[in-house]
Amino acid sequence: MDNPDGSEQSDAVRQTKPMTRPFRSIIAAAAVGICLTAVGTTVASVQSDPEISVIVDRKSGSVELFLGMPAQDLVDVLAMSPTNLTEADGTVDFASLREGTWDIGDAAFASVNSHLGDELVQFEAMSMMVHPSEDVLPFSDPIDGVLAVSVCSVDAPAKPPRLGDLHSYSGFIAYADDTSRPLQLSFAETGRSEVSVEVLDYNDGELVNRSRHTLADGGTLTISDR
Amino acid sequence: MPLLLNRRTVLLGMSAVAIAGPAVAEGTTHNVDMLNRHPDDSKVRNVFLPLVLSIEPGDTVVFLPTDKGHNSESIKGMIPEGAEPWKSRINKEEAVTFTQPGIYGYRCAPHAALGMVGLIIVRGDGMTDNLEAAKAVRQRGKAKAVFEEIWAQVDAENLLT
Repeated sequence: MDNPDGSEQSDAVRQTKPMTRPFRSIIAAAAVGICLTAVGTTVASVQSDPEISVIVDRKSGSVELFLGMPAQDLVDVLAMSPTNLTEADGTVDFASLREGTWDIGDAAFASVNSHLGDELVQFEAMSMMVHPSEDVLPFSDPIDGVLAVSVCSVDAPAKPPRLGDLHSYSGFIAYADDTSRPLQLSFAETGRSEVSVEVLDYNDGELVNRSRHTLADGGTLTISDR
Repeated sequence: MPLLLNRRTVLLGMSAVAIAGPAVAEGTTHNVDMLNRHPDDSKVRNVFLPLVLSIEPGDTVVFLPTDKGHNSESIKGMIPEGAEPWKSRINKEEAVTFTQPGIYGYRCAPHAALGMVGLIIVRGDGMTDNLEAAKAVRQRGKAKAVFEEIWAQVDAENLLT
C-alpha cells in the first residue's frame, strides 16, 4: 500500500502530531444532537472536538476500522436498536458484555454499506466495548483501538449506566486484496443532525493522514486512497 | 476426549491416583498463557502462548490466566468427532487432558474475533482425520488471519507428519 504522493503524506502526518484526547464533551453533544436533519460535506476547518473518531488501519489483505463515539450514537448515527446493548429498563449490564460482543458490533454496523474503491466489502465486528463517558480512553492509533474494544473484566459501575452515560468503542475488519483504495462508508438515514468526524488513516500502524469531516444524515464518509 | 478439570480437581485426582489407582490420564503438562499482549511484539494483543501446541495423548494443557479477562473454549467444528468440547470460566485456570488424537482449535470467547485463538494437535493415529473440517470452519474477524498464520506454522514446522 504505497502512498503515491509521499510529500503530501508527510505534511498530513505533521499536522496530526499535537493530538490530545480527541473527544470531550461528547455526551452533551449527543444529547442535543438527536433527531435533526442536516446536510453536510467534508470540511477541513472544524475546530471543535469531533463527536466520532475513526481509526483506519490498512494492512496487506485486510483493513481494520475502529470507531469511538458516544454510545447513544450507536442508535442515532448507526441505527442500531438500543436493545442490542441495553436491558429492558434501559441500563447496560456490563457483566453481559464479558463473554464477547462481536454480535453487538455486527448489529451496530449492519446499516453501514462499505466500499473499497468500487468493491463492496463486508466489515465484521471484532469486538465492541463501552466505558463511562467521563473517563474516555486514549483513541489515537490502532493499538488504542484494539485496547479500547477489548473486553475487560473491570468492575461494573455501582449504578448501572444508561447509553447516555457511556462512550462506545467498536472494532471491525474487512478482507480485501487491494486495501489502498478509497474507503467509503455510507450511513443510513436516521433523522439525526450532522456529526463531526475525525479520521486517522494508518498504513500498517503508521499514521499517514488525519482529516475532519462533517457527516450528514444518510451521508457517506470517504477516506481517500493511500 | 478432553477432560475439563480445574487445578484443584487435577490435584484431587492425583491424590486419588495414589490411593485408588490410575483414575486420571498420565502425561506431560503443558502451559498456555492467556495474555493481553505478546511479550515480544507489543502490537499483538490478546494472545495465547504458545499459539500452537503439539502434544501426545494423555497430556494435559493448563490454560493460565496470566492476564485477566480471558478464557479458553473449543471451537465448534474444530475438534475431532466424538471429542468433548470444553469451556473454561473467564479468569480461571483450567486444565484440559486430551486423550483422542486430532486437531483442536480453541478461542477466548470475548476476544476470538480480535484474533485470540489457538491450536492443539494431539499426535497419534487419526490425528489428521478432522484437519479439513477444522480448516473449513468459518472464522470471525481477525481470527481468520490468525488461523492462516497458525496453519502456515503447522506446515512450516511439519507438525502433522
